[in-house]
Amino acid sequence: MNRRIVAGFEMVLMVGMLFSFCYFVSLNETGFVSAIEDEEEDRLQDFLDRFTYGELIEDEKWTSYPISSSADDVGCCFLSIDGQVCGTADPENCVEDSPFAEGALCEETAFCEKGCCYDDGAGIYDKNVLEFACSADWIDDPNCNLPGAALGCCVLGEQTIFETKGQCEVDYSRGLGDTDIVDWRSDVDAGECLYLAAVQDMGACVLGEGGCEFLNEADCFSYDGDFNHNYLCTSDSLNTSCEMTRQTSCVDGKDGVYFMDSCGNRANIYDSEKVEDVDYWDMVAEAEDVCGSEDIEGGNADNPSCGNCDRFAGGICASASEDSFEVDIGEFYCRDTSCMFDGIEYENGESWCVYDGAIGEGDDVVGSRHWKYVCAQGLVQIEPCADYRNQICVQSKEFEVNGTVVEFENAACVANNWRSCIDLNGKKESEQSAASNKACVSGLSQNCGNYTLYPGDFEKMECIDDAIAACGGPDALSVMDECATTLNCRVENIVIGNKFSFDVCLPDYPGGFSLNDERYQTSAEALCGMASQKCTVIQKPKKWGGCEYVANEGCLGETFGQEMNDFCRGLGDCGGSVNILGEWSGNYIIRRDGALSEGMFLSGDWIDALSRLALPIPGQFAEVEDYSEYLEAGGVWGGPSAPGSPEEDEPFDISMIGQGLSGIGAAMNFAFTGKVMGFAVLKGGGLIGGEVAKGYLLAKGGPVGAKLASGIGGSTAQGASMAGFASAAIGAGIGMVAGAMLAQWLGLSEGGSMLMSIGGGMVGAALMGAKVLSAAVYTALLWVGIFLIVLSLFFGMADCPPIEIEFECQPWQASIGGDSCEECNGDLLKPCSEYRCESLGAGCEFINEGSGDELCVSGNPNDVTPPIVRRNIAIGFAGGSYIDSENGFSVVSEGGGCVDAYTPLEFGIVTSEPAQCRFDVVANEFEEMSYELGSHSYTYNHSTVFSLPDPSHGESQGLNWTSELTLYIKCQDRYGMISPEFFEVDMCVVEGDDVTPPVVVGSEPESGDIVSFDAVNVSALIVTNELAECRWDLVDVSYSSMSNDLVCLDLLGRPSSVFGYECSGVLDIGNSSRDYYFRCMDQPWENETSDRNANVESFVLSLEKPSSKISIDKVEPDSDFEVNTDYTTIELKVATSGGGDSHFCSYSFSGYDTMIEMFETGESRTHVQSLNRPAGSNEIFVECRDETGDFDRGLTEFEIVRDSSTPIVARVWQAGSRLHFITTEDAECKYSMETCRFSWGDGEDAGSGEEHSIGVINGNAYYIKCKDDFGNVPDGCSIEVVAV
Amino acid sequence: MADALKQVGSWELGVRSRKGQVTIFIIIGIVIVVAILSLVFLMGQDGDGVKPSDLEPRDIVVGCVRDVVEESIDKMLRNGGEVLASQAISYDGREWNYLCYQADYYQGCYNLHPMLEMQIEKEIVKDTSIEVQSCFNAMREDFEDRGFDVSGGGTDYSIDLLPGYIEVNLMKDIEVSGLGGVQSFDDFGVEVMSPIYDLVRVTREIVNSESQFCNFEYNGYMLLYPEYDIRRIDYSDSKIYRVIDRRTGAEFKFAVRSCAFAPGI
Repeated sequence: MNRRIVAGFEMVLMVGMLFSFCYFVSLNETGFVSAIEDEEEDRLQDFLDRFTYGELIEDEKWTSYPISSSADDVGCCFLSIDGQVCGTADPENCVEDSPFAEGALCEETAFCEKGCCYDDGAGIYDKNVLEFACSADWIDDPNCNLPGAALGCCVLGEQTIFETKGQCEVDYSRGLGDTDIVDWRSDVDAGECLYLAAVQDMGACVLGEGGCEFLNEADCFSYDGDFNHNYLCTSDSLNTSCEMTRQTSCVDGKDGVYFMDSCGNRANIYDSEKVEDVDYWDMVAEAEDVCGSEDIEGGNADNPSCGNCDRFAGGICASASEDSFEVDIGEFYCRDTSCMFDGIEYENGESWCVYDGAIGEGDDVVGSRHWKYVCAQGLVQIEPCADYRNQICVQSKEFEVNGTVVEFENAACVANNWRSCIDLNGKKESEQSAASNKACVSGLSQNCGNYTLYPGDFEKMECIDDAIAACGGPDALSVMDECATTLNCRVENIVIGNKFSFDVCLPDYPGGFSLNDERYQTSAEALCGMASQKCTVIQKPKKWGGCEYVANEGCLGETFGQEMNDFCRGLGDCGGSVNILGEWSGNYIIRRDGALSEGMFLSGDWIDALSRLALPIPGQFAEVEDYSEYLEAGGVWGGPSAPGSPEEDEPFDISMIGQGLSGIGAAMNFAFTGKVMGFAVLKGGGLIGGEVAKGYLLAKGGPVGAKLASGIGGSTAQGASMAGFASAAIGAGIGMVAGAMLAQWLGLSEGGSMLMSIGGGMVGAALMGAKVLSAAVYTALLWVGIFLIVLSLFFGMADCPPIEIEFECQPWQASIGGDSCEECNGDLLKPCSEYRCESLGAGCEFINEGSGDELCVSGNPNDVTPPIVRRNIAIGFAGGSYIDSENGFSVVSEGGGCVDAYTPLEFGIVTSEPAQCRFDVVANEFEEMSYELGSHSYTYNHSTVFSLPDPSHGESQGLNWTSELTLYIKCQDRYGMISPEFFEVDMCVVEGDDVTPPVVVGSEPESGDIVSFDAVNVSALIVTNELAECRWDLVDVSYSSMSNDLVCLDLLGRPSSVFGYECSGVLDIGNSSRDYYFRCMDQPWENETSDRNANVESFVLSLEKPSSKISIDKVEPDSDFEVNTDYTTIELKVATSGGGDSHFCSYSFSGYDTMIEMFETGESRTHVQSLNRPAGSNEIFVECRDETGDFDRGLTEFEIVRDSSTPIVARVWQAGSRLHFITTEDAECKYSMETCRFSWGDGEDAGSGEEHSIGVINGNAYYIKCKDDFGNVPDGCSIEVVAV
Repeated sequence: MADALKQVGSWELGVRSRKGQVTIFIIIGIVIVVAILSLVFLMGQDGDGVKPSDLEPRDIVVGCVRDVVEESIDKMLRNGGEVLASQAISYDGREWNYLCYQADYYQGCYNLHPMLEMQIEKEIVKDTSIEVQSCFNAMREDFEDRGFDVSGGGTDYSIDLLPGYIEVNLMKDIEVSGLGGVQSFDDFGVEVMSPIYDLVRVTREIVNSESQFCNFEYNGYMLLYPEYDIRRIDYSDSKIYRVIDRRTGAEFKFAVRSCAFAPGI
């Protein structure tokens, strides 16, 4: 859309928005808006006025995003109807006429831009503030990298405060410093600032008339007192009225207990033996010279006679009476600040991690949380890390201070990077490697032979397998290498069968899932679904009968379930796992050829071992890893940055079929990657079906016999004498062929066929050569032949179909009931939470949330009512209707009869309470049913979709598919109550000749997609509703005329996709955009094409090729610049061109191995990231990719020069009554006639620029300080001059 | 006068009657009881609970204002710097005002209340203005009850948060005229001890850190500044903060939602 049109539209919208927004403000009485009153409301209106006048509309970032009030997509809403400011929302939930930027993150928009709200005069700097919310000055630097924001040590007499210079000046102006001279030191850190308070020179300040205060020298002078350094007011030598007492007290900023004199001044540290020691009340005694100094490690904690406390060592001044501690003298003592926990003593400030069970390697149990405990002045405080294991607790036992290693337990809750690990599995798909991998596999597979695998064509299978290994191996390795070096990730090597092994990137600490919140169930199922895999065990008939395994025999063993379940639970709260009480719940299914195979389920010993994971392992803790790269990402987490509601629907994409969610592309990508990596060959292995294995022998034996017969027959014409023998030979040949055919018909093994053939040959030879053979030979041949024929019947060929072992990984659900709910309550050290509670039982409910009396209880412990099942009347299907029956419903076509085969059928039920539902084609009990109906979680709505099978097709392939079909459904509620009767869904499928061609239901890539600029060819995948063979061409011709075949590896009844059967191929992409035409023909098992149906219209796939490859045109900053702060907020800008529609840029400070996606990227050609960078040399690596996987890399190097130097007075001279001076740079100068430490605001103006001049009086001193353009000004003077 | 004498005469006659004597005593008793009750009632009705006293005008106003301001400070401490929490999360049976909030997941929060000291100063003024005026009214009524005339000019009222205390700047020209002539008062300022200024400073550190790093290392902070006890409770996807001044026990309560995580994806 034309930018001017957009801008104009925005203008109109903003004008209208201004009034309606104000109206909204006036209407609201509660919530956030009610707080916007008076001044704040004015600020808001002023802010919105800026939109009205176009000031903000011209902001490039704002115009990057269209304003829409009708789009379904979420975006940034300035003010939502629930009063939230700057959050992602649907347009419907955004206040009418509030600024809304579709598809944008709020921090990308002008109206939600963060900045610094500051008041230089007050020294206050507030970070990350919206402009309208700021009542003071505002600048678009969210990190407040301003000179005035630097912290320093404000020395206020004996007290010091680590604060800004402005705050220090305010403190002085309010009389805290007792002088007018602001003592603020920029070169002191927080710790040193505290130390500075402790080492202030103190002494007795005698004020006359016997008065005395214990002060520092400066304060004493301000009182015009007589300062006596290191003397106490009780010193006899000072003759004050202050007397020794038996009183003690705590002193601000000090750790110890101090004696107090009768004037209220502190004296020396409390020592009960010296309460009447005059000498002890004379001079200041240092802590190391008084009682308890030898207790270095204990800090005199709980010492009744000595108050020499040390907070770091373990004691700090506290009230003895409050703690019921008996102290020898006074009311105060050194409270023990250490803590005892689990038999271990921790010092004050130490923190440590506590876990609910084993951690790491995917062993964190469901409902578990990481806990950080802290010893805070004698009390153990709990700091739970974020629930759902979104944070992990890491711990170190020591750290280094100035080269010295200090033992100090230090724990921290840090973000768990688990999502990135799972994303890595999908990286192959999203980045070019996957596309090229698919192309590679398809290309090499075509080199393996014809488009169809012949029965028993093991060589071709091996060929495809090798192709996959050749194409997938190196790429996978690189991804796994990245996984191994990624924070909190690990490579899990799954080796079960010789053709079923793969690597997967899993998190060390799997994240937890919301167990009952339906909003997250779909994404949880998609994630867990990554571990739902099929292993096809390939077997072939033995020569003399029976079967032998060719591949993946390991999948039949117990390791299959064990390893797959480890993979499954390693993804998160999936599969068979235990909760924090060690209570097991299996949420996985193993099927063998489609039927539940409970014999392959995990053994009791294995489950017991898993249960032990709920016991913490002593001494185990998560170690601190290098988080620098993640912290560098703008100071926030380097995790997911894409917005979007979990329910956000994606457009049709074959890789997203059935998932329907954004943010779970990784899961699907992984699934695809897995197939490419190793699973596809297993699927190919499935082609050696039992019904075709017989043909294998025919193919082997038939031609051999024929060849033999023709060879022998050729020699019969050599002589009449040989005619008789020739007859015998012919008979032998005929007999062998007949034997072979009979063997095939009888389904004999290879050995049996051989015997039958030989036997047949011998019998044939005997019969045909009876005239020339001797009786003995004749008899021998005949009877041996008959014997062999009979013998051969004992060597029948075994039916050796492939065995399909399927592991289905489901989201973890707690076991039924709520008997364990109460276990969550009452542990003060591990407070209960919703997640924790719900892990203890399907019937557990977390109540009173937010009241402070949260409890985990069984929601309905007396529930004896099973769920009632009804048809979901909201669901229908296009080709017919549902008719309710007595115990379910029937599916009928529009005409009232059976439904056409391959009709996609969606149906659903509703339960009267949250329940799990299952179905099967036979009336099994609930536990034995093979399929989940809808979600694995407890929900009200349950639905599924599948394609109705064609019974004729099934029968033709030896499958027991009937036209009448009944699905039996049962549901179970949270408390284990199962619906007593089956809910039945009856349907019938039209049986008869198939007269409809296959339908292409989807493709990957989709029509209109863009392909890599460098691509010579591209891998394409199409999905058909029924098993078919497909071809493609660049011109729209008939199926038979199309010149390119696709590889179709699926078997009847075993489609690769939930939407149908897949065929793939490699398309020549050429140099420009092209249209590709696809047509398919069904029933590939039929030999006669006349019996098959081919498309008469092509499916058209249009692929575009960019005119140029994506390139990085510019990266900024690209030159050195000066700043006046230690840190600077820079805006990394990357400009790209060419390539596809979407460009995504990422950056790194260390190299291209660990890239962090930029915050504002993807839509426009300018990509922006705000970064907080330190002064010095900076190197930023940049990489930009488009949706085709093409990428370009860039690097920018620049120096951030910290200008901290203050202006220098280069020359000074006096001319008459004027003093002239020149500064080395442009500066603003001020002077005072009293002190160098005058406040800048109080100084007299001395001019700006490089030349300055002031009027002077001879004999007077002038204290001059100058400030440069960066605000650098000396703490003291730039120069002191006495006029002469 | 003659009529009056006649009446007295008739009284005397009446008194002589024993029955009349009893009646008179009863009447006198009733009058006394009514008078006492009336006095008590009227005292109870006195404006805003301020009893007549012999205090100076300033003493009356300052005492009243101190109570009013202290009550308002308590509100500020409870509600994160506002009279009523405006955007809050319910926890432990009460509302915890958000000082920093981010509606989305994974993102750092927006500081909702920058310049918090100034906001609190304004909030206290807004919250107490009417009651402060009532303090003057009470003082005026008190003095008028005692027979003085009280007149006054405009009121100049502001609050300053300072380290360790709150300075109430209350300027109002009051003239009290009565038996002793005219006396003028203008400064009714008072200092109310409260650590709220220091607590707000700590709060700023917390909010700045939470908005930038999604975390505040309060344990380290407490180690450096043991005078503060900082408690943090992770509740739902927010953080509940209590910043406690150990010396006075005063605590500033607020909530933060920064870098919240979704349960799952």
